Amino acid sequence: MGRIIDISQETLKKAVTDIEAFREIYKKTAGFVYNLALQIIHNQEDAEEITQDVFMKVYRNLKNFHFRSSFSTWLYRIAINTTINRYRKRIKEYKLNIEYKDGISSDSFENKLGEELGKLDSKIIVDKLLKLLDEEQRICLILREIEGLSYGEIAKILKIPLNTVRTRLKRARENFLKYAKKELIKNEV
Amino acid sequence: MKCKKVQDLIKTNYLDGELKEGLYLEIENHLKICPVCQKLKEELLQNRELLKNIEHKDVPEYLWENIYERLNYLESQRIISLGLWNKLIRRKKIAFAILTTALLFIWGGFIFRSVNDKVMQELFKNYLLNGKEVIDNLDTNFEKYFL
Repeated sequence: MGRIIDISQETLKKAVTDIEAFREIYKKTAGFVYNLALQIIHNQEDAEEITQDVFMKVYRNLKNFHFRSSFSTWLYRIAINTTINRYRKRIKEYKLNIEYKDGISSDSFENKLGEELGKLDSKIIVDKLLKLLDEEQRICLILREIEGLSYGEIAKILKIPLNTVRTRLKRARENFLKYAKKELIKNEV
Repeated sequence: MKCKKVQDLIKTNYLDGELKEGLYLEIENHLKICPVCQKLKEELLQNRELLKNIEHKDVPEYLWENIYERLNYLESQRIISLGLWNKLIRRKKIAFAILTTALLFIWGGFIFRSVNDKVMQELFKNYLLNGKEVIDNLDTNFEKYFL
């Protein structure tokens, strides 16, 4: 599945109480968690905090992991949920901040967030385009295109039907195409 | 197959290799004769290439140090709580005594409260029937002690 190398049961069992064994898991999976958070939230500090929170959650709950699903699926789920929660919190804060500052209606705040974040750290067009997609579409697209997961794997991680995965991907690609064309026109002008 | 259906599949199952062979060939044949759908396919493939160029950043070294610190704290807390529990388990008599005392206190509290409630109810009932007498019977009459 995706970029994560699956961890052996022995290491997982050992890591419940052994921090050094846990470090092995961290080494193999931290890159994925960090980059996934970065691609969704587009902020380095947040991505760092998310990575720390994810691994603390994994450590605390490792004893309850009964191998019913693969470790990768479990980790993907924790990483995505933690990132989504942080992302929504940030949007809420941003919304409040904007409304407080100049009373601008919240309808355009997604676009504003994109612009704002773009100014901060995005130098690559693709980052900018991803930001413009809505949260659900962006996550599906990242899991499919960047992590290389199948429809079945995405459905399992996000706990949604296969058809929903398909619909979200379709819309994500349509929007990505639309925004890419706009971006191209803007750059040409 | 109509363009709308083909385009729908190009954006999803075709692009992702999640299509049955028969349908796949059908789309391939359509693409040979339809420039619009062919163009869409090419644009989608270009976007896919664009997405593959996303920068994969290295995780900062200090992240593990922060996690390690937090894990050590968590472990020390776990050891402390486990230690206390083990001590209690080892000293069964002390644990039993603490538990019994706590239960006795709780039970005593309930008994006291119910008796107290009954006495107060009785007094209040009498007061409603004959207020003055009850007050006399409370033995708090000033004259009773000083006259």
